[in-house]
Parts: sequence; C-alpha cells; structure tokens
Amino acid sequence: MQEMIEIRWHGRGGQGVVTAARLLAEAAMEAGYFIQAFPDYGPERSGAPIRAYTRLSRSPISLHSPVKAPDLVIVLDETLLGDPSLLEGLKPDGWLIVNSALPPEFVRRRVGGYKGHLALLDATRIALEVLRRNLPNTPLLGALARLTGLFSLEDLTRHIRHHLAAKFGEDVVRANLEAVRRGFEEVRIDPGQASPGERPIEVPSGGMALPWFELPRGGLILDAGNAIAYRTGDWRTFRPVVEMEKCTHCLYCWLYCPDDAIRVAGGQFLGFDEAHCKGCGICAAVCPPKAIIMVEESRVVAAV
Amino acid sequence: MAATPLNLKVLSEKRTPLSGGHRLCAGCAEAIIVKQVLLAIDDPVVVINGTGCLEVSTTIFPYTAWRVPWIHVAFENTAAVAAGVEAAYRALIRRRAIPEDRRVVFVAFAGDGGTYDIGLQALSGALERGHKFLYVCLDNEGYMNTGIQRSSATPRGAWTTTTPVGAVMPGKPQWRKDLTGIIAAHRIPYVAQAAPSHWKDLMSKVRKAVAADGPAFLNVLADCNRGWRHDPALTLEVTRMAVETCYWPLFEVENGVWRLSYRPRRKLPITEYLKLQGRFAHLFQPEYQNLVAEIQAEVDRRWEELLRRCGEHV
Amino acid sequence: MGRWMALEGTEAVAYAMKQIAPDVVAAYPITPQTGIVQTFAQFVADGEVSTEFLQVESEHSALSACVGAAAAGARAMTATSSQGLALMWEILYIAAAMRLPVVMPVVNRALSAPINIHCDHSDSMGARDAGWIQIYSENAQEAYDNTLQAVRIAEHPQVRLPVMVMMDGFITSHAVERVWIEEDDAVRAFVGTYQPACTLLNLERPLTFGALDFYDYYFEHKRHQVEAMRRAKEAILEVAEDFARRFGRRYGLFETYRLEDAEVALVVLSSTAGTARVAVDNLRRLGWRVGLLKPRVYRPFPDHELIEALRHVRAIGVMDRAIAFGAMENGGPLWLDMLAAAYRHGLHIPIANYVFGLGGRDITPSEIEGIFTDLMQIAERGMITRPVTYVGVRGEAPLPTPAEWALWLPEATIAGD
Ligand SMILES: Cc1ncc(C[n+]2csc(CCOP(=O)(O)OP(=O)(O)O)c2C)c(N)n1
Ligand code: SF4
Ligand code: SF4
Ligand code: SF4
Ligand SMILES: [Mg+2]
Repeated sequence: MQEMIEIRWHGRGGQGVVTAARLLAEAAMEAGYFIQAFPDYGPERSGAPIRAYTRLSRSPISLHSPVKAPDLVIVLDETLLGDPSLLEGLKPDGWLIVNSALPPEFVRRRVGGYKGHLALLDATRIALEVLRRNLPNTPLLGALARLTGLFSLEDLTRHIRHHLAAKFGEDVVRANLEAVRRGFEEVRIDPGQASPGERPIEVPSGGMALPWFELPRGGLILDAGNAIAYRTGDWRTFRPVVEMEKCTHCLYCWLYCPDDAIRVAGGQFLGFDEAHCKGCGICAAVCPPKAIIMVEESRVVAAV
Repeated sequence: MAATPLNLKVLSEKRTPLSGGHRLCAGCAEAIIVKQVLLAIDDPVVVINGTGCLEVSTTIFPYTAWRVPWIHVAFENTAAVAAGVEAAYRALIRRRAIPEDRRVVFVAFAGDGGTYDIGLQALSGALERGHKFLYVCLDNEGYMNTGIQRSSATPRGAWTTTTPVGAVMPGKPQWRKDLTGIIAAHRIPYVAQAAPSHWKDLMSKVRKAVAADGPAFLNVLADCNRGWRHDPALTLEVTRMAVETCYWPLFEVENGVWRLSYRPRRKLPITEYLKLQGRFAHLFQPEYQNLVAEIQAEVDRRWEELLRRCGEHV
Repeated sequence: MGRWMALEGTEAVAYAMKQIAPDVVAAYPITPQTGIVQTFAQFVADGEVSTEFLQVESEHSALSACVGAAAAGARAMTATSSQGLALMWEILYIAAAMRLPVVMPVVNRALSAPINIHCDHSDSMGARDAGWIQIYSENAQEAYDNTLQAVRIAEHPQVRLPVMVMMDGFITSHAVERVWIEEDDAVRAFVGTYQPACTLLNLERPLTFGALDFYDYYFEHKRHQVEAMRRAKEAILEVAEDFARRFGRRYGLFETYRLEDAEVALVVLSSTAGTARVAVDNLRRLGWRVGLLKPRVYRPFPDHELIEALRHVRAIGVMDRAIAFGAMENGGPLWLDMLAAAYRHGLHIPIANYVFGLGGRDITPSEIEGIFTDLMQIAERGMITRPVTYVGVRGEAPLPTPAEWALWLPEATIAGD
C-alpha cells in the first residue's frame, strides 16, 4: 500500500455518511493504521448531499486539511450520481465505489462518461435482507476490505464483533458479520481504462466566487430571493407525481409545500418545481383527493 | 384597502416571501409558518430573524431565499434588534427621511431556544417598552440548528441529544415552560398560540396581531421532523394531533381577554400525538407507563386551566 | 458662536449627543457612564432633542438595537463602561463586520473581579481587536470634540465602521472642566445627515443583512473589513482637518509635547497624558531632555507615524492602564503594539513598559518623574533590566527618583567607559 490513502464519502444527511467514514477508520485502526475521519460541516439538513472523509496511513497523520485528491470516492446513494462534483480530484488510478444495483455502463454514463476504475455493490439490498434496515455502511466495509486490501476479512470480523458485542446480542452481531461477508463477496469490479495522468473529469470548483473587493460591504446580499438559483431538487429520493384528473385545485399542496415548489397560476395547480422540490411528501399527505403520490427518484432516473 | 381574503386561490396570486432553494430540511415546518405569517400581511414587511435553523438555512452567502428585507444579528437579541429597527423607522419618519405614509410591519422570527431561553430577557424588555412589532416564536421544542438539544420548550419525556434516554433517564425530566402565559403576563395587546395545520386561524391571528396597537406575540408549534424523528410527510398530521390532543391548544389573549380559538370535538389521548414521533418512542415501553400517565395528567391540567381562563366550561 | 460651559466629562458628551441628535440612542446605565444617559434623558424629556431614546434592559440589547437601527438607515449611538462593554462583546464584532457606523462613548472603568468602578483601560483594551475604531480623549473638551468627529469618521463612505470614543472614568467623566461647546447649527452642519444607500427600510430593494458565510466567503469579507480599517486613518485626518477649519481645534493621530529634542519619550493615553505633561515640565526645568507622545487614535494603530515621531529618542517608555495577561512579560497592550511597530519600522532602541493606575489607583507627576528617571537610566545603559514595571504596587521594587539619578549618573559614566 502507498503511505497514505485518502477517501471521500458522498451521501445524504441522515444516511450515516459520517458514521461510515468513522467505521472504516476504526476498522483500519484495529489493523494497525493511523487514522483520521471527519465530515464537512455545513448547514445542510437531512436529505441534502453531504461529504465525509477518511485518511489511513502507516505513519502518524499530521495533515489537517480537506481531502483534495482522493484515492477512493464512495457514493452511498445512487441518486447522487449526477452531482457534478462527485469525481472532483479523484486520482487517475483511483476508484469510484457506488452503492447501486445499476449496471456499470449506466453508472458510468450517469457520472458524465467516467472511464476510471469502478466498483459496485448493492449494499442497500444486502442491508435490507440481512439487517432488515437500510444501513449500507456495513456491507460496504466488506467490499472495501476486498478492494483495498487494507485489512483482511478476519480483521474486520474481529473488529465488528468487538465493536458490537458490548451493546447488542449475538443475532445482531451475526447479522452484521453476514452483511460484511456478503459485501466482500458481492462487490462487482469493473476496471476502467484511465491512463495515469489523465483526469477522469474536470470540474470547476468554487462556483461564482468573487474576489474580496467585489463583494458588497458588510456581508450584504443585494439580490432578494436569489436562492432560486440554488438547486435543492437533487436532495430528493422520492418525487411527487400527480394524477391531474383527480386534482380539484384546492391548493393545499401549494399552502403547505415548504419549498415553494408547487407551481400555480390563476388559482390552478400546474405541477412541481423540480429544481427545488425536496421530495418531503407533504403535498401528497395533505392532498384531499389523494391526487399526488410519491415515487422513488432512482426509478424515475433509471427510466430516463 | 380591503385585506386580501384568506382564500388560497387569491393568496396564491401573491408573491411568496421565501423562495425555493433554501436549505431547510425537506418538510421543515418553519418554512410553512413563515409563508403563512407573511402572506397574511398585506403591508410591506421587514423581517428580523434570530440565529437558528431558519436563519442559517435561508441565507447562505451569496444566496438568500428572502424576497423581503431581512436582518439577522445574533441568537439572543432578536427582539432588541427589532426594537432598534422599529425605533429607526419612527425616527426616520419624523425627520422625513422616509415618507410619513409608508406603512411597514416588523416581524421577528426566532426559535424556542432564542425565545424561551437565551432571548427571553431581550424579548421581555422589548415588550415592556411597547415597540410595535410582531414576534413569532417558531417553537420546535429544541435547539435544532445545533443538532437537537433540549430547551425549556422541550416537553417532559422527549429524547434530545442532551436529554438522551438512558438507564436512569427517561428523556427530558422537566415539564416545558409556559411561555405563552409568561408573555401574556406582560399585558401586551395581543398574544396567541397557533399551529400551521390550522392555517386560517393562524393567518387571522397574524392579522389581529399586526393591527394591535403595540407589541404582539405569536407562539407557533413548528414541527421538526428531523428532531422529532418522523417521516417528513407527517409534518401536518403530527401538528394536527398536537392540537387535537390539547397538547398545543389554540387560543388568544386580546387586551387581556383570554379566548379559546378551537375546541376539539373529542379530545384525543396524548398517546395519539406521542406515538407518531420517534423522540417519544421509548415511552411506549412498559417501564414508562407511569410517565405517560403523568404526561396525560399534565396536559389535562393545563387544558382545564386554559378552559377556565377562557371562560369555557371544563 | 459657541460658548464656555462648566461641564463634567459625561455631560460634555451628552451635549455632543444632543447636538448630533442621533435618530436612535439605546443605552443602559453603568457607573461612571451613567451621567451620559441621565443627561441625555433630560434633554429628551425637555424636548431639546427628538431622538428615539430606548431605555433598554441591558447593554447587549443596547448595542443590538443600535445595530438594527443603523441597518435600517438611522444614525445610532449608545454609551457604556466596563461590564457593559464586556456584555456587548458579542455584538461589537457584529456591528463592525456588518459595517454599521454606530458611535459609542466609552467611559473607561476597570473590569471585575474584584468589582471596581474606577478608571483603567481594561474594558476598551479588551475590545481593541473587535474591528471598532478607537479614539482616546484626554479631557472633557477632547471627549466632546472626538464624539462629534466620530460620527463623521464612522459614516465616512470609505470607512463605515463603528467608533468608540474613550474618556477616563471619574477622572474625566466626573470632573467639571471648562468646555467650549459649539453652536448647535455649526455642529449640525459639521456632522451632516446620514443617508446610507443600502438600508433595511428600502422596500423597493429588499436586502439581506447578516447572512451566513462559509469558508468560501468569510475570509473575503474579513479582508474587506481590513480595507475599511486601513482607509480609516486617512478619513480620521480628513475629518480632523475639517473640524479644525470650522472650529479651530486641531487633532491628529496623536499629539506630542516637547518631543522634538527629547532624549527619552513617554507614550501614554488619555488623562494621564495631562499629568505627564506636568512631569515633563518639571524635569525640563532640571535640564532633562524628556518628551511626551499621546496617541489619540489607537485603532487603527498609526504604527508608522508613531515610530517616525519617536525615531530620534534613545529610549521609550510606554504607560499602560491595562494588562494583557499572559502576553509577553504580562505587559500592557499599548506596549506590545509599540514593540511590534518599532520592530516593523526598524527602530532598535529600548522600549520599557509601565503599567499603572489599575482600578483607579492614582498616578502623580512625581511617579511619572520616576518613570522618566528609569528611562534615563535605560537610555544610558542602552538596555532594559525590568521590561515591565507595575507602578506604585506595594511589594514591587520602587522606581528611582530624579534625585537618585543625579547620584547614579557619574558612576554609570565610569562603568560605561
Ligand atoms: C450566544 C450563542 N450561544 C449559542 C449559539 C449556538 N446556537 C445557534 S442556534 C442555537 C439553537 C437554536 O435553537 P432555536 O432558537 O430553538 O432555533 P431552531 O434552530 O430550533 O429553529 C444555538 C444553541 C449561538 N449562536 N449564540
Ligand atoms: S392538494 Fe391535491 S387536489 Fe389540491 S391542488 Fe394540490 S394536487 Fe390538486
Ligand atoms: S414533495 Fe411536495 S411538498 Fe414536498 S417539496 Fe416537493 S412539492 Fe413541495
Ligand atoms: S432540523 Fe428541524 S427545524 Fe431545523 S431545518 Fe430540519 S426540520 Fe427544520
Ligand atoms: Mg427550536
């Protein structure tokens, strides 16, 4: 192994991204590594895309800056595949690891024609089957043991047993070990063609960052309501779909949508603002004739 | 000019005060309440916002979701900042820097942390001095912005990260503070409790509040699906249950006269409210039966006290 | 025409406030600032000024209300001391960073504990890096003049920063002095009206004040703030120039006294500078070449100008009425700044620190003569043996007296051969 491995995790608030970054670090620590695990702290709320990082090294880590050029990018939620910053800085010989049941070609296409190393694991399904909860972290750890060779499946087993036995019964411990084993075995590896030195994708970072002398005085924002330019539509894991025939244009959905994502004109319900709808499901819940249903976003995406 | 009727078709023609693209959690009631409060007001508004989820999530530089003038200064001083803004408005009218007929409504939004706890002094001072503004407490019963810690609005028995459930602690040990009562004791012209599930009631209260001759206070139950631990789609259902169980009664105190705004046809047991939320999940284990009974008794006691104050039969 | 009035320092400032007639004043009483609030309250009660006067429930709310008022486009003022300033701490930084031109007279008082109502500079020195412009006044006249100028400096389009105007608690605040009060109209003409372009009450253009920054913008905003502080120096001089033109009293970044041919110099703020002048005269009579420099503007720190004014001396003494606990040698903040400035501008001479007067402890001309004596010895030796002296503290080795200096001198000359 190289001296230090850097990993970036992508997921959504509430999915255990931070825990995943930490679990991996702890497993590696048991195997004798020096570790770091830390999240990107932001104001983002449940459902918003968030990142966390893990650093593993054979020697003490004195670096305390964000991971800019990860060796591994791990995506816990396939609805994030369209995120243009997903591959930011990924080393040319690095790996993209995605929790997904989708075929590799499809994933590559969703990630803007990515050509590098790819590994896929349907960790959600394994978790649901074995743990009966959507906790994709555990199976992913198994996959990582296999992919990175950082620690053996035995190391990992010992760690998990040690970690869980104190708090949980033998059933829980065994189920977790099973999840790890299946992750180890079921990870699908799809090596890429990236040649050394070639960056898989170039993403401009920083957006509309202005130099200090062009900023308005005192932190003012001059442009009322300009948040409309900020997309929160990619927070969605479910999206509302309406059956227009049932709609009575009562506008309860408009009244209760927290994200101003119901389009209305002339007192008539028109549809949803996909750029901002976060998929909370409130519109569906309050719609008196049940004209709105919520469907899984990944299905919609896959169908595109 | 007649006020815009509280009719959704007509209201939907108005420009919403908060744009999409803010970063509150999916399903957050704070955004719903802001919309209802500000759509009820026809005059131009200026918003003063204390630190908390709403402030943090709606103005992340260089973006702002606010379509109305908005200011945030700190956590505990929302009412003091509002007082300064309102005083400035009066002064500027007097020196004719702004036209005399320019009507502006000042609306302060702050969380329960910023109101019940750290900001209570500044609020009490501003109310006593009689500034003309509407203060809306977005009461989600905890410090949600910092990751769900208890406040004095957190109900007894609720899990929060600083009142965790453990072998010797059943969540928060204390009863919640009766802030609405404390504010009513300031004898300001208008005080009310509302909930976004009862939108017409809420919006009518906002109108009475801004028409009042002096400070007005609205305590609004603001469901936080992340902290209360439930599916965001249930936000309005949970809120409605708070009202139907009489956990969160809707009432107003207008110039010292207490009036009940809504009386459920059949008062539901508190468990109907508790069972919807993960923060109370532990209460349904057998060892907490007594605590649930105590909670029910306390809800009943406070409800009956309110009925008596409002001159309703108990 | 203006007129002479016998006024206490706080009254002089309250007069300035009445003449400025801010749109909003929000304040809370604390000794020794109380005189400002009370006098101003009387002006309001008598209808002499039409300010919205908020008798808030705390200093934290006082400054918060000023921030709100200033953002709304109003000229806003408050005043405080000591614990009140400490309670404002959070909002000090916010007012500066939001670039709101609030003006605040500060009547310097020691900080608790032990609770003490008398003068020292611990309060305003603790706020020295909060982003406010700080101006120190020697007497009631200066406090009055500085308060008037502060409004112009704060609102200067190149600056837009809040300003604190300091005067010494009791020594200045409660002493009656002869103060020249300018004509109301002349003051009004001097301060002008505050008409900011971006305000919260501009309903046609809704603005967002006080948004959240992340690492992608916070630093740029701080850099922006630095620029304002940088430009403040020039603006302060520009305002002083206009003030002198209108009223004949001239102010700079600092003031010197018999410094031109001095061998040793003393740097000291506020009322003690007046006492030090007496000491300088006493020693000059004995033929000692001693001089004085009184900084007026402490933030922004006029490092270059100060050092140039002192470049010809052989030793400098810096008097501090505060301790920067845990800083180098547990000296005072002014000393630390002077050392840094000397290093930065290549002045390599001994610079000693004299911490004095904490909690209102008296400082007399003879004690300051002792300081000068110590400085003469330092200049002669070319080195410092005691970098920080706590002047007049029981249990500390006392300073030499001028008489001892006469005995010591020949011996030193021999030793120096
Ligand atoms: C003086 C101060 N103390 C603590 C904080 C940290 N803080 C920011 S928001 C917050 C809690 C907010 O709770 P609440 O007012 O109920 O608003 P919510 O986020 O729940 O809507 C805390 C503790 C702060 N910003 N300022
Ligand atoms: S709530 Fe349902 S019926 Fe009413 S307008 Fe919306 S979609 Fe139509
Ligand atoms: S799911 Fe419905 S209520 Fe929720 S954000 Fe989307 S449109 Fe609005
Ligand atoms: S944590 Fe709660 S209050 Fe805060 S944004 Fe999320 S749902 Fe709203
Ligand atoms: Mg709260």
